[in-house]
Amino acid sequence: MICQDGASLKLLIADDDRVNCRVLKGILLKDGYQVVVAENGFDAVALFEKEKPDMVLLDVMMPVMNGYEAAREIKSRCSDHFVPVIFLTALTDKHALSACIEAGGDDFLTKPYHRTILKAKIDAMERIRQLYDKLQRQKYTLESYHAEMQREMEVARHIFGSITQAGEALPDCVKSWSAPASVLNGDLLISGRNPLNNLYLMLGDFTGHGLPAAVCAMPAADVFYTMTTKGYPVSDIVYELNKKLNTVLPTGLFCAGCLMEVDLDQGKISLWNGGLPEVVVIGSDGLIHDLLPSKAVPLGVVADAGRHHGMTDIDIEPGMRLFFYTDGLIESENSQGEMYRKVRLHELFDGETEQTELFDKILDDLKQFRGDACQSDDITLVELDCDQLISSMSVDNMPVYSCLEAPDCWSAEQFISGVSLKAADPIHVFIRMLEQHNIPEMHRSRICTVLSELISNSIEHGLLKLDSNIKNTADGFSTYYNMREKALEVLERGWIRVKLFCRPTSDGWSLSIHVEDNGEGFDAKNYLANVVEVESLTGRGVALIKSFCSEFSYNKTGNIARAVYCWK
Amino acid sequence: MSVKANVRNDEETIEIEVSGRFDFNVHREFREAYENVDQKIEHPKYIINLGGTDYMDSSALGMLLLLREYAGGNGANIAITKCREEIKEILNISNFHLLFNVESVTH
Repeated sequence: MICQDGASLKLLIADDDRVNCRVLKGILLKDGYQVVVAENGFDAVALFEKEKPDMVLLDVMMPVMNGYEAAREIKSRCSDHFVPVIFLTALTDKHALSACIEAGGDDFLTKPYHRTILKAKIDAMERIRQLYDKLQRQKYTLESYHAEMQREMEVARHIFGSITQAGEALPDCVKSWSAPASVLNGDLLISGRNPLNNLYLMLGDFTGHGLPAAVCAMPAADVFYTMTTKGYPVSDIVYELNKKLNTVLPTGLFCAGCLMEVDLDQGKISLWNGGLPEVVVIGSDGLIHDLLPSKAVPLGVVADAGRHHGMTDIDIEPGMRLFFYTDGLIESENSQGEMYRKVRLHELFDGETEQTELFDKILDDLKQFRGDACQSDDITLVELDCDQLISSMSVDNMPVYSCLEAPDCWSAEQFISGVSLKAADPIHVFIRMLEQHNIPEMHRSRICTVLSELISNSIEHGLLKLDSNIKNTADGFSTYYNMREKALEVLERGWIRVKLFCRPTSDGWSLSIHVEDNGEGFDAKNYLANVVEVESLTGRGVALIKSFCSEFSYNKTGNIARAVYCWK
Repeated sequence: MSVKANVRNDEETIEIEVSGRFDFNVHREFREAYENVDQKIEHPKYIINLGGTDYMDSSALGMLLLLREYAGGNGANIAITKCREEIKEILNISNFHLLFNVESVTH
């Protein structure tokens, strides 16, 4: 009999009867086994330790230590290894034989034994032993695979956690609930701030769930954080995310997502939805005011999805809330296999629930619907409370001058009031600032022209309420500027705030200029539509700003102007 | 910022040089410059030298128009000289090349 590894089987026989022993040994050697012989149970145990036989043949009645005891000792030393023990005995009573099995024996053979039967028994036992060995090896392999996978999952979870939470924690105005379908979550919810302190949110839903989805979330989070900190607009972040994910994800894996930038200064949210369910906009009455459907293909599907594709701008209204979620929510099934569905979700916004309770109401309803049905996809639900965001951001009216410098962008804010407004010449500060930031002279000059126009408008029309028409004659022109000086002298509680925000764009730079005053505003619509005669002394500012800036607008009241100057 | 005016040797050209910023802050200086420089010249030519001007805004445009009116309106002879590209651009946006003789920086 040959073992699996090619060597012949090693048998340990223990019998105090020397004749028996010699006969048995002779038979076994002839059959090709290696044989080790012990004279009693005690020796058998010692030899077992020393020789590590593949099988043991034990006589029951032996001096010093009998076969039962020796079998117990031997079995206890086998640990998870299987070494068959066969009792060779002259005893024939049932009790004695069952005692053999109880002591750990695997079989018995009554003396006098026949050579063929003995060989058959040994062969049968060897088959079982080999089967056991194979099982044991497979068990080890599986165990080590499992341990390795656990380790890797832990590492993945750690890396996933540190990457997805690299930004700051979600602010208080964002409520979220996330239920992964497996250990790792394939839904990604992250937030960031640009240098102007505008809030950015991203909800991503990677195809599938578990490890593959979570792994894909990492490059996405990386791009999001890097670009947010540098102040890129949502459309550029989407463009880069798409490019990155298209490169790194295998075909068939992609990310449905929703990204937004909340710009409180402009009172608007720039939102991109690619492949997620409609974003629900709730008004102060608790009813659905708007539904913002996906307007673009998910991230990573096509190589070049184009810039500025699928963007939506929404005006922030008082009491507004946004609800957005991954499709795991409306596709949740109950035990009857029915889906939760969008309709059921939308019906919850009935205008009768306290706004603050809407979020919990949705979760309760989902739980109730699902019962104990098991979850098959990751689910994430997010609520953005605009009022709370605004109250957390309200700036005190202290003079502020800040210059945050991120690698590729900068922002500055200048608040001018009271005596400073009368004495200081705000443009001066900005000229120096623009020089510091190495803006080429040509652009600096144009930017100063725009700033000068906007600041003049704020002071002369917003705060001092001067009428430009006075300037229409030569004398009037001087009168106007004299009036300006005098009115400024007596102005109380006037201030202007100028914010600059410079950030890189896909092909150059953009400088957002924000000029705000605390006046009552003026008829900006009329002002912007104004067409001037060539020789008119006034009204040229608009034309200058319009021709230099890619964007120029006033808010409804007319006390906040916004212009964007771009250069390459 | 400053406005300087002087009469050239030909005794008929008044040159006004605006350096630094050309915005409402200099409106008085600018007006005084051409009103006070020399009353004896009957039909002076004007040269507005913007070579040292960092930037200008719409009130500067208003000031130029005032000068034009002062100098005789359509009959005025005013050259705006040494304009850098971005200054020229501002004048062009307002079609000032139709009213003034605009000259760029000569390299």
